[in-house]
Amino acid sequence: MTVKLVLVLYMVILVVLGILSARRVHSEGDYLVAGRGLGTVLLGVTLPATQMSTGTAIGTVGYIAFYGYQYDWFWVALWAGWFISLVLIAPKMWAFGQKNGGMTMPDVLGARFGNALRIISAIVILISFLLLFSAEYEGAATVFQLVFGISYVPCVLIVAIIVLVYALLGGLFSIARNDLLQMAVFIVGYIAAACYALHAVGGIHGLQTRLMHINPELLKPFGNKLMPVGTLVGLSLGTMVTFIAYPLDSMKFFSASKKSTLRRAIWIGILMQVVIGFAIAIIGAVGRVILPNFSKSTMDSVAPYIALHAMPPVLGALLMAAVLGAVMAVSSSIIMIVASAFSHDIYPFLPFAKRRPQMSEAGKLRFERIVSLIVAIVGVLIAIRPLGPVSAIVTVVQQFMASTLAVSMIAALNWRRATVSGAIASIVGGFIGVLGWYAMGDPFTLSPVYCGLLLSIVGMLVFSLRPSVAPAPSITDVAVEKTAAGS
Amino acid sequence: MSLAAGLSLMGSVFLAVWLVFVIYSEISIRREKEEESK
Repeated sequence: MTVKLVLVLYMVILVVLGILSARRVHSEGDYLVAGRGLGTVLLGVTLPATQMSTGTAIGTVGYIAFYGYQYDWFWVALWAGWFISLVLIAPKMWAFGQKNGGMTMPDVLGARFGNALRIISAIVILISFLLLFSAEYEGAATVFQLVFGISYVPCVLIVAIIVLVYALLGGLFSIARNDLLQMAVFIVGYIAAACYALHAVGGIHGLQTRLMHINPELLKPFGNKLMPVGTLVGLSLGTMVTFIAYPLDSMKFFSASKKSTLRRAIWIGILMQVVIGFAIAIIGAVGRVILPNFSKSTMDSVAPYIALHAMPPVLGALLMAAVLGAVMAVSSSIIMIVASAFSHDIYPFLPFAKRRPQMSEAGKLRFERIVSLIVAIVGVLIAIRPLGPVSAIVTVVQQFMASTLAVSMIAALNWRRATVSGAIASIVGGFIGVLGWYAMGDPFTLSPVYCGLLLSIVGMLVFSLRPSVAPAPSITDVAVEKTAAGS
Repeated sequence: MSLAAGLSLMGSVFLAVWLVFVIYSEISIRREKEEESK
C-alpha cells in the first residue's frame, strides 16, 4: 500500500510541475531549450537524468547481478565519452547555439555539411529514439505491473499520458524541474537501498561469502568467464562513443545560460552518476544473492524484485519511484528530441513545406506540440509489442548511435578538412558496419561497435582527404572564434 | 582480490575520474575569464 501511495503521489507532483511550467513557454526556443536560460543546478541534474534511463535503473542492476560487479566499470568508459564531449563538443555546440540560434544536433551538422546531412542525422535520431522509447515504456510497465498488478498495455498508456502532459505543457522548463525531483529521488532511493541491501546480507564480508558460494566468477574485479574483458571493453566502447555526442544531452547544451554554467553542470552531473553508479554495483551484487538462480531473460526484474520483496515498504517505494523517475525523465526528453528531429530538422526542408509561408513563433510552438503528441502515440504503438529486454534494446540503439553520429559531430566542430561527402560516408559507413556485424552474428564475439566505428572513421577520413574535394565551410570559424560566445 | 578491495578500487577510480572533470572545467572557466579580461 505504501509503495502504491508514494508512486501515485509522485506522479501527481510531476504533472502539477508540468502544468506550472506551461506559462513560461511562449516559443519554440522556450519549448526545446528552455529559452537558453537554465542555471548550473537545473542543467546539472537534467543532464544525468536524461542519460540514466531504464537501462541504468533496471538494466544495469540486472547485468551486474548476472555478470558480476565488474560490469560496473562501463561507467568509466561512459564518463570518458562525457569528457571528450566536454573538451570537443559541448562548449562549441553552446557557442554555435548562441551565435546561430541552433537548438539541435542536426542544426550543427546541417550548418557545417548542408541540409542533406541535417535530414540524414535527424532520421537516424528519429528511428533510434523511437526504439529507445519502447524500452523506456517497457521499463515503466514492468514497475507498474509489479506494483499495481495491472496488465502491460494500460501500464504503457498511463506512463505515456503522464509524461506527455508535462512534456507537452512545459517543454524543457518542466522537464528540467521534474528531473530535479527525479534525480533527488534516484540518489536517495539508490543509496538507501544499497546501504540496506548490504546490511541485509551481512556487510561486504557476508556479500563476498554468499557470492563465492553462488559462483566465484562473480567476485572477479575485471573480466570473468561470464563476461570476458574483450566483451566488457566492447560494450563499454559503444557506451563511451554514444555519450560523446548523445542527442538527448546535446540538445540541453544549448539551454545553458553561460558557457561556464554548462561546464559546471557537466561535472555536477558526473558526481551524481559516480554516486548512483557505485550504489548500483552493490544493489546488483546483492540482487544475485537474493535471486541466485534467475535467468538472463528475466534480468529486468531484479531491481523491482529487490524493491518489492527485500526492502522495507518505504525504501521499496523510494526505489520504485527512482526507477519510474528514470523512465519518465528519459521518456520526456525522447519526446522532445524525436519531435524536434521531425518538426525542426526534417519538415521545414521538405519541398512542399518550403513552398508554404514561414510559421510564426506561436505556430512553431503549436506544431512542436502536435508532433510531440504524435510521437508519444507512435511510441506507445511500438511499445505495445515489447521488442526484448530493456538492456538489450538500449545496447543495440547505442551501437547504431555511436557508429553514426559521433565521428561526424567531432569533425563538424573540430576538423577543418572535413567534407560533406566525408560526413555522409561516415554516417552511412557506421550504420552499415553495425548492421553488417549483427547480420554476420557478431564474429569473434566482438561488439558490432568496433566495425561500425572503424568504418565511420575510415569513411570520414577517406572521403575528406581526397585532394579534389573542398572542405565544408568551417563551423568553428563561425561558432567559436568569431562569436561572443566566450564573452 | 577480495570484494572489499575490488569495490574500493572501483570507488577510487570513480572519484578520480570525477576530479578530472572538476579540475579541467574550472581551469577552462578561469582561462576564459582571463582571456575576456585582456
